[in-house]
Amino acid sequence: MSAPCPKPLDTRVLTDYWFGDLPESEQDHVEEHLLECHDCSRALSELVAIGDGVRRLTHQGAFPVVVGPSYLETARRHGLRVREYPVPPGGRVACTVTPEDDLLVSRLQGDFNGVTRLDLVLQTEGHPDQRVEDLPVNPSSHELIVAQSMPALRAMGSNVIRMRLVSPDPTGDRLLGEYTFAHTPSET
Amino acid sequence: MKKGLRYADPVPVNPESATDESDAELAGRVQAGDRVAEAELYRRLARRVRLYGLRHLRDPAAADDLVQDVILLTFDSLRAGKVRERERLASFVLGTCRRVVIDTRRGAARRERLLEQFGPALAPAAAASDAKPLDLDHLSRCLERLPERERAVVVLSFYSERGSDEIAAELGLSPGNVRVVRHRALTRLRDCMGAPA
Repeated sequence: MSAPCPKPLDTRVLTDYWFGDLPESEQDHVEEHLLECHDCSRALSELVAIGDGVRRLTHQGAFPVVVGPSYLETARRHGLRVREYPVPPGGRVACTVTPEDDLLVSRLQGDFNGVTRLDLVLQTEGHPDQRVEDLPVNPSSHELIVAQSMPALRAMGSNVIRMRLVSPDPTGDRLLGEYTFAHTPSET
Repeated sequence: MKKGLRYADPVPVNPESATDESDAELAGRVQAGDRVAEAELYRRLARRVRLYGLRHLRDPAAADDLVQDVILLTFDSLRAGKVRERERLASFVLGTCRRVVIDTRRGAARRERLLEQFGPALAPAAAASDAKPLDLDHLSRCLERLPERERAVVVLSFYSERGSDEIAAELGLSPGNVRVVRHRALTRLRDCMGAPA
């Protein structure tokens, strides 16, 4: 076994290195260190392995996540079929997921100017309300793109799902939009 | 290619070294023609060079090729006595990595010539054989436990392969905030993956 690292690189440094966010001079130092250090290269390998797993799971639509346009571009570049449901505030859509769909996104439109905190209240028939807090949103984009969990959608029977986007303030929740999804399972 | 995911390949996580010798000591034995030392030094360098390759080429197949090229060139130089400071082997390997990456990008075909010269003595399988499989179900549960913005930043970082500036623009954050959130999320994921499933 080679000697333990006397000056292990901080995880933040390893992460910034991996994503190209280090200054060039620091990058040179980190690369030389990684090429001689068992412990630090192992730590980076662990981060890379987690990243690889994140990539695989995202590719499968394994979990729900707020995304941006780059997610849709990447999915299409990989040849995935993405079903999209753009919904204006107050809108209602009939929706489904077919065996041919690889991913499904809800595009919740609205005016998010001045919003500093955004929560999503999810109401599904037969289930207690669920509140998802502090969603990231670009105020100038006028929509929140949410990639849904494909396993959960495929397992869902006919149901009506209401999503309410709210901005909490000292006087309570300010409603930004309510969106209704009438889901029916695919017949095929 | 339908539904391909190019950059998806395990990285060896925990190869055990079979000796207490330093890289420099092994390099000295390689210079003297010791095949056992070659195998051990190969095992150590392969994972590190592959990480360099993944970082700069973002393609597992190209990273595997880089491992072959760089280690063959390094051993060739050691045998020829061209590595004067064996204590600074990492510096030599880094310089070789950089040159080969430039060559790779230019489409150079150095690999076949070197493999022809040295034969199959250095098998690529050693670079990947000790990869620890990741429990994807466990990782999925860990991801679902992350706060929303951390999950979003991690996905856009690894799946969309966007830099902090672009992610910041997409999610309405500052680039500095993206880096902080990304680091926090990865620390949580690593801790969660280390905990029982």
